[in-house]
Amino acid sequence: MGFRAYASRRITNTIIILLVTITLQFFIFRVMPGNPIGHFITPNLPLEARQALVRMWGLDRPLHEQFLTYLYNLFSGKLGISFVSQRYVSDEIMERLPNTILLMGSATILTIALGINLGVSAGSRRGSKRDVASVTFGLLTEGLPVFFLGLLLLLTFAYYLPIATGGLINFPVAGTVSRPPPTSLLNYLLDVLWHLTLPMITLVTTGFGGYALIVRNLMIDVLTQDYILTARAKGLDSRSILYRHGLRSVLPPITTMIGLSLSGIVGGAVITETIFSWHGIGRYLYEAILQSDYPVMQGTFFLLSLVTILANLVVDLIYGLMDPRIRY
Amino acid sequence: MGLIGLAILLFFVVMSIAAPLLTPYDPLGDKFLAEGVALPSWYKAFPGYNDFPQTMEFVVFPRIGQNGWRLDSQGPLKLVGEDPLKLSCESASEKSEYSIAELTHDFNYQYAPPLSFQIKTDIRFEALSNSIYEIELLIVNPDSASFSLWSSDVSTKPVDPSELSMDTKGLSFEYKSKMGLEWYQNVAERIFSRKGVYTLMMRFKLKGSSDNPAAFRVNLDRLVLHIPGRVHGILGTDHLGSDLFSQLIYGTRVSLLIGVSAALLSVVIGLIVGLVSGYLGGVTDEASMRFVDVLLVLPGLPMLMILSGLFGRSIWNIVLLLGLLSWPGFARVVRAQVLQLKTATYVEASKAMGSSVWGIMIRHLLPNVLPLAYATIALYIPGAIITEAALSFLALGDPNTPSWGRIFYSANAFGAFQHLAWWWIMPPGIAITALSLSFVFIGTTMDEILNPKVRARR
Repeated sequence: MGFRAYASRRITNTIIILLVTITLQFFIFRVMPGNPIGHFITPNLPLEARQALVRMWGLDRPLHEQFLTYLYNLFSGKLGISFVSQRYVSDEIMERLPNTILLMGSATILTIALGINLGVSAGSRRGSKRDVASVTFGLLTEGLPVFFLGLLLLLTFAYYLPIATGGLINFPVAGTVSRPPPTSLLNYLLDVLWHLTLPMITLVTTGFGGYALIVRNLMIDVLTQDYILTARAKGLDSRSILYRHGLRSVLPPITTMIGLSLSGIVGGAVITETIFSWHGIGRYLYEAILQSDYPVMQGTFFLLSLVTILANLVVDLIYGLMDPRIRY
Repeated sequence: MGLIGLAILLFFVVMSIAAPLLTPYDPLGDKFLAEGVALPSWYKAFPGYNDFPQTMEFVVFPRIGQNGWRLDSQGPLKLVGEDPLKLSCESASEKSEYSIAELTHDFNYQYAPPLSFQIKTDIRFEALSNSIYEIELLIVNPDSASFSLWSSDVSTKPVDPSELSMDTKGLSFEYKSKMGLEWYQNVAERIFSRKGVYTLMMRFKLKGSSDNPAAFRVNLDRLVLHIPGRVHGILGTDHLGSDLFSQLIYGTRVSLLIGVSAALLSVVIGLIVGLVSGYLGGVTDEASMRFVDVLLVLPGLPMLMILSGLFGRSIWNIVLLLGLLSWPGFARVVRAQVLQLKTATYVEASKAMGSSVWGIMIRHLLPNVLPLAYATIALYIPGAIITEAALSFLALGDPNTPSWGRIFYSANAFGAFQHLAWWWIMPPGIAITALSLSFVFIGTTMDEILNPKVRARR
């Protein structure tokens, strides 16, 4: 079976997962306790208004018709209309998507890079001080909740530090850019970066220790293999042994691990966005839940699951490219 | 490492069992124990904070001549009873001027100014006729400046006893401007700005007219001056004046309960699904593994947030949701193990002897995968604890349960930042981290001991 066959198998699988997800979502929102409008409407709303709303959202039609409307909304790309803002959910999402991609993307890349780097350097010097330190750190972050670190960083860098330094060093309390935003492009980018720092550090710090631990264990396994000894005997320099012979052979399991940790990264991003008032999808989802804004909850959750599902597909395909054995 | 974990766990278990002994307060029920966001008591050890008041309540029973109570009466207002204190005026018709009686009590206040205070009295009127009267409540500070806190309107009707209570928090802007304060300034801070002997005073004024003699009798039973502390307990208070230390202690119970029961539930589900799908194979296997794929891929926390928002926010709903959503990883491991085991000769033999499918699963397969389960329970607990705390932090947890996440929620939403209250955030954070780590340590150690082969293969 070649790569093409493998890829088509993975893609079919992904489509099945997507379809199941879409159906699951529909049932979560329609069939679960309370109809979508129940939470939203106050009891003293007149009956006519209530009926009008029910008709407007199509809740008086049979379930299968509702399902078709739901599919139409999903695939037409509008994702329905928000109860609260009365705008297309897709428009609201598009406003926030770049911010979320910025935060999650930069944090994920940094987490992986730092995690692999630390893991390799710890694994290659087993028992050294650096190894012990990174294992300790990795274990510590295993129990460190994102929201705790986030609040702590916020308190320290956005509240204590400005007071301690007399306003010389300060980090933003909330938001994605300053208000009003800086006019020149360079200043704007710097401003966003300045706002990005704390949430990104939060996500990276809670994430990369765990990666480092796993990479370290994988590296220790690999570095005791015979072919590493051979490479060493050939007189290759240790850097090339470590990265071209050692790391390369553990990359496939690392890719799997990244795929599995994606849903956790999304969860962490939701919390981080909430703490730092980051104008992104995660915080939007949270606000929608608090306001029982069903179309928004549905739309944002669909988007978040779509992202993780597609990212998993990409990870699987990369795995297939890297490790020929998987294309059974 | 496992021993360290056990020690930490033991510490928390003891803490959760001994919660009522460690703290006298109800974590959420006891509100207004002190000022909102009061500092921890040990702040008093630091310069600048050492004169901060604890919560103080002066309950005084007016007895003339005792506890510094005095009565200065001009005119016909007279003392007629001591216990409870009774003032009476049989007739106030002689002059058309006010007849005044002042009831005073001195007390010593040697602390930093409070942020608020409340005064309550039990006062009852009897036999009131034809009188025009006024009652005023005052505090005189060591500089003899007097502050009128409350005064009845000039009235001929009896005052409703419940009206005779006042809280500096509810004072109007008018009142403040009368005192020479800006609208944002604090009345209690102004009144108690000095250390020394303060005088609490009730002034009765009475007037009748010559053709219409006034009669008046008042019973005064109790006077309470309540000054909420600016320091309280070991960790201070939250925004409602509830004890944070109690919330921390009782939060241990919630975290342990939720963590253990959710992990147990998901491991049981994982065992069943893994066993059945691994052993039966075929369509069952395919379907359940696809479902596992879906659950593994979907972002867990957002899903939990939505579901707990929809299902209602009770502890057991959260346990149920956590359990129902986190079993797939373990189901996969069990299935892989079962796939290996089912070709073992003793399983074949048992099959040949005509054992039923369930018999084989329970008698031969289950005991072999059970060691995996023990370690997995311990390793799943931190996830459950942290996720529950995250939900509570987002105000999507059980609102009536004192959990650690809830402390974070109130800290974030109600002013830990404005007050720079690090003691509001650090203790529950350290507690969650330590408890989670204890289970990680225990689980890892158990895993190494019980499943050396599986561990080595990974």
